[in-house]
This record gives sequence, C-alpha cells and structure tokens, in this order.
Amino acid sequence: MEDVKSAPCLKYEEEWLALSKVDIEMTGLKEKIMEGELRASRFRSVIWRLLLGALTPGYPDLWSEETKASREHYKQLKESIAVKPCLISEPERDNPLSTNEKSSWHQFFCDKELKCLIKQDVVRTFPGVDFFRSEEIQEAMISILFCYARENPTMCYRQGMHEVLAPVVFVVKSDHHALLHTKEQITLRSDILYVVNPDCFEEDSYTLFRRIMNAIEGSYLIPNVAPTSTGYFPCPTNAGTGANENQVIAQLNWIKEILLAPSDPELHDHLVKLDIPLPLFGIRWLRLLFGREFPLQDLLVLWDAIFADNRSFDLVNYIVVAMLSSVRKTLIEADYTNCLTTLMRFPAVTDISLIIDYALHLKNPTVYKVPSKFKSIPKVSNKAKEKKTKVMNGPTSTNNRKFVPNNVHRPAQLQSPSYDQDLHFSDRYLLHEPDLLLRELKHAQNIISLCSAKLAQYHRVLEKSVDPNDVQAHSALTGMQELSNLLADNVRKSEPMAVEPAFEAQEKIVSPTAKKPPISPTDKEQVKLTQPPSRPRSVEMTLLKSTSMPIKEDDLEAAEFTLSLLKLS
Amino acid sequence: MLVLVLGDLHIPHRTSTLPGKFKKLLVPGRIQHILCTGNLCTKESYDYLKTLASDVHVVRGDLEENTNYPEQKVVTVGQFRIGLCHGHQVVPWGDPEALALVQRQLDVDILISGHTHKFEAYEHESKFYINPGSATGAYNPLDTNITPSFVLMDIQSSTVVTYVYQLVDEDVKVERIEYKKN
Repeated sequence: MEDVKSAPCLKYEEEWLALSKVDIEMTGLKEKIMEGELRASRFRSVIWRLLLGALTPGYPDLWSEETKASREHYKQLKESIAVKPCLISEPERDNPLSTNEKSSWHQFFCDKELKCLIKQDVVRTFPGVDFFRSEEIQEAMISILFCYARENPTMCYRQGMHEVLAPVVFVVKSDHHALLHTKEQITLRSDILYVVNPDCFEEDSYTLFRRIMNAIEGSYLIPNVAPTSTGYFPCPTNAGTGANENQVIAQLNWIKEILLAPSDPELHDHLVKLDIPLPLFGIRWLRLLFGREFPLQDLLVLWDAIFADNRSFDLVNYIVVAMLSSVRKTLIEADYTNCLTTLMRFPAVTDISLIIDYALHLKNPTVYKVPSKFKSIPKVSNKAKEKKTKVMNGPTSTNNRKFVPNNVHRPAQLQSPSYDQDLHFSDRYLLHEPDLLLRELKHAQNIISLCSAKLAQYHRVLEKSVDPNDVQAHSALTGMQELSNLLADNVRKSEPMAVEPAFEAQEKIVSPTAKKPPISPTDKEQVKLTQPPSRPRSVEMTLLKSTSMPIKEDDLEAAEFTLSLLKLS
Repeated sequence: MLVLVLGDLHIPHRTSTLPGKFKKLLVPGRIQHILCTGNLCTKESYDYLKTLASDVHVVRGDLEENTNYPEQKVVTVGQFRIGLCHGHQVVPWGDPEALALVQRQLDVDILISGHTHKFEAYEHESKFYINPGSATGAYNPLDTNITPSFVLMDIQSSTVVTYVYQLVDEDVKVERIEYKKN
C-alpha cells in the first residue's frame, strides 16, 4: 500500500528535478512542449514562468529569489493603488462630492467604476466551466485585472483581457491542487513549496498574466489615446489622427498578404472575392489568443507551443494561417454567409497538434515537415516557400531579430504519438504522401508515352520487313498500331490538364469514406474500377485509366503478343 | 457606503430651488442611499432626489403635500440602525433630551431629525444625533437668516464619517466629523 501511494509522489519530485536540470536554452523541454507533452504536467505554471522569462532556466537556485521579487512587486502594487479616502481628514479638498480630479475620492469613484466593469466581464468568463464560477477565483481575477489596468494606464482594461487571464488562473490553480494533493502524502522539498505556493495564487497569476500581456499588447492598443491620471479609461487625443494605424489590423493585414497569400493563394483569393477581411474574426483570435476557438485543454496545449516558440509570440501569426488552412475546404466551397459562420464559430478541431505542427511548418519549413494528417493543405511551391523564409520576421518580431529559432529536427514519425501505428515509412517519406503519389503517377505517364512512341517506331520497322501475304502477322501489326494509338490518345488527353488538380479531385472522391488513413495506390485503382459505369466520365478517370492500362488483362495479352512478335523479328 | 441626509426644502413655498453650488456637487452615481427628514413639499422634489439615488427614504414633515410618508422610520445601513424623524412632533424642537427619548423609543445608533433649519451633529450618551438643516436655506418662522446645509455620511463597518456641506457667503464649506460605534 505504501509503495502504491508514494509512487506518483516520487514522480512529482522527479518531475521537479527534471525541470530544474533544464538548460538555459530549454532545448529538450521545448521539443517536448511542441509535441504537446505538457497535458499531464503538474508544473505547467512553473514551465510557463520559465518560458515567459519570469524564472531563469538552468539556475534553480535563483528561482526562489525571482519568485519572491515578483510577488513583492504585486503586493506593493496592490497596496499602493488601494485608496482609503475615509481616512483622509482634509474635508475642504477631499470630500465624497469633491469635483477636484486629484482628490482621493475622485480616484475612489473611478476605481470603483473600473472594478464594476471588470466584474461584469469576469463573472461571464467561460460560462461552461465550473472552475470560474467560484467567488474566490472571480475576486482574484478582478484584482489582478484591476492591478494591471492601474499599472498600465495606456492599456487600462479592455474586454477580452479577462479571457486571457482565465487560462492562466486555471493553470496556476491546477498546479496548486497537485501540490496540495502530493503534500498530503509526503514531505516535499522546500524549494517546490516556495515556488509553487498556494498562498500566492494571485501574485503568481499576475506575474504570468503581465508577461503574456506584454507580448500581445499590440492587439489591444488603440492609437491616439492619452492615459488619464486616475488610471481611468484613456481618452482619445486628436494629435496625429490617422497617422498610426491600429496595430492589430496591421498585423492581420501582414498575415494575409505575407503569410496567407503565398502559402495558399486560392484561399486568399477566395476570401478577397467574398470580401471577408481578416480583422472581422482575426481581432478576436489574436486578442484572446484563440481562447474562444478551442476547448480549454486544447487551448493550453496551443499556448504551450506559442510560449515555447518565441517570447514575442510570432507563432500566433502562423497559427492564424494554419487555422484557416485547416478549414480551407469548407471555406472554398462556402458562400459569404457560410464562410463567416465557419470563421466566427470555428469548427471543433479533432487534434490541436495538427494546427500546431502546421503552424510550425509554415514558420520554419526547413525544420518542420507538413503534418501528414493535415489533409487540406494546398501544395506550396518551392518559390513561395523561399519567399516566405525571407520575410520570416514579422512586424511583431522586429525587436527580436536576434532570436535564433530553436532548430529542433523532428522526423515525421514523431509528430504525434496518437497516430503512429497506422503509418508506414520508407526512406523517411510517408508511403502515401500526396507528393510521392503524384510523382509516381507522373512516372507512369512518362512510361506510357514512351511505350506508345516505341510501339509506333517498332511498328514502322516491322511493317517494312513483314511478308505482305502473312495475314496473321498483319493483324498483329494492326493490333500493335491500335495499341500505340490508344496509349498515345490517353496520354494526349490527359496532357492539357494539370496533374495536380486531377490528383486533388481524386482525393475528393476518396474523402467521403474519409478519416481512414489514405489507402494505397492499388486500392484506389480498385475503387475507381468498381465505380458504376453510368458515372459520367470525368477527367481524373482518364488519368487513372491510363495508369491502370498496363494491368488490364486484354492489354497485357496484346502487349505480350507484340513482344513475342518483336522477338520473332 | 455613502448616505445623503437632507430635508426641509420647502420648494416652492419658501424658496424656488436648491442652491446651484449644491446641485453641482450632487451628481448621480456616488450616493447609495438618501435619508430625507421631510418637508419636501412637492412630488417634484422627491423626483429630483430619486435621480440622485434609487433608494430614497422620506418621513413626513408638517407641510407635506404627500401625507402618506410615515412619521418615523428606521433604516439599517451596514452595522448601524438609523432613525429618521422630521422633528416637529418632538418638543421642545431640537432639544437633546427630547430627541434622546425618541432615540430610545426607536432603539437606534444614529437619530436624524430636522425642522429647526439649523445644522447640528453631536454625540449624546454615546449615540449620534444629526440635524442636516435646510438644504435650500428656506426660512423658518423664528429665523429668516438660514445657512443652506446638508450632510453626507460615509459608513464603513463600525465608523461613520460625516461630511457637512454648508453654503457660507456663496462658498461651499465642508467639515468632517467622525463617530465610532462602541
């Protein structure tokens, strides 16, 4: 019994020790994070603190000091902004009805109004999650948001910040629960107890929240506002109207022009044609860091990846593109209304790691491969990829140019443990990778056209040498010519159309049976051949027929016959 | 918790309106409760008070248009029981001993009364007594030279900080009086 009980507790300490051994670059840890391995971690809040720079990785001795400093900062801040106007005995200047803007009563009423406003939003955070219904959590969230607003008067409080805070609070609290649970069974090391201290819930959440907000404050900033002295809502100024565009819109336009257009021109053009600007839904995506688009547990995994990638959250831009691409099929087929509905209420994603993997691929195509399951990705031409790598550093990363991306090479089989078993690999290529199939098809087409040309050539040679009275030889020759024409015909027919769309069209036919791993080429042919004959002869059928030609029995006989003739001659 | 205490407006019989400087100070959103000692006289005055705070308590004065207001009222704010009475019934008018009788009758921590048109705030036998005076500075039969005044109470758990607003020579003077409940 004792052993069973202490086993997970030991693991708890082991996890901590592993964390304190992480080197300053956090290479190994980041690699793990990108694979979504923090789902079960009991130190996610500590890892986030490491990733966001609140703790120095590799120097666990400093952690206590750093934690203490940030906690002190919050405590002092909270103390300094708490006004108690009833204690001030200067009634002439400072009374409850004072119109003087510098009076503490005026400040008191401004604060009260601000708190009211924050509360209005906080009580509605994640209505489906019970965790956020507790009074204690809501109170803590209100004071964190209030402190942030007072500390950053230009930012103040804006709707949406509470939804950025919510996952942070959740993670910190979960870690505290894990700690308390383990503490009941064994005596824990003092450094764990200090860094993960359930009494400092508000302080630690604030530290994380402030650092996240620093990275995404661009999405909240409104141009031309001047902070008010009371920390109340910034008032608009007239200076330089229109000079600086709203930062979040600029960022979204950048994503659209620089990231989306080259990686998926078709989708880009479609959105432009329907006149759906990215800010329509993108502002919410960016401001809430996708909080409304994914369920909480998936969101945390997504955030892990965002934090781990870069402290300026560059990955966010690529995630936007990845999300668009993941629903591209629906979008392209949809009209304006359906398109908007899809984007406004983003459909449930089965595996968040696909989005992360694809975003990583977009950001760094040389290091990360396209996730094999990411079906609807369009083929990206190499040129576009080159172009993209050049413009890699987005507007948000300008101050981070020195940052060297953490070049983790991940072979395809490590992409996600969940679907390892049903994939086959040869030479590190996925066997049924679209690219590979496409190449195979092209190769087959080349062989066919070569055969056709050679047959015609042999036919001409034989025609001269064969005895004109030999009926059998003549019929063989005619057969040979017909065969040659047939092959040539097929090749010629398929030539005008591009090979790639044909392949995609073929994919469409397979997809209704979907969700299964892509079937092998021979399987596909069988599918094709068993199609009812009444089905209109579509373009891709031509291509397939030509590829399947050599295995048709009649043709095989004819070919054998021709060959034997050739041998005879 | 801010509680506005005022009364004896006598609009429109003895004066036309509240002093402009008072009106400027009394803005909606800051005050939670209003306790009125009566003699509002007309419904319009009551409606004006309603615009300042939604919770308005009024007792009946001797010159009331609306005779449905109660003679006395007890309101609880925070830890305090506050008694409200116009005061024309209590003779001699404004006499501490006579008011103490009402205080004992109602069993309150703070007794608020009016009618004399003279501001008063004092502790008597460890109970607190407030007379907000007349907010409009309306005359009374014995005196025509009245200083307009009203009172604002800031109630924090067991402490009341009373701010007295008086209009002296066209200037608003504010005084602060603290009362702690034992």
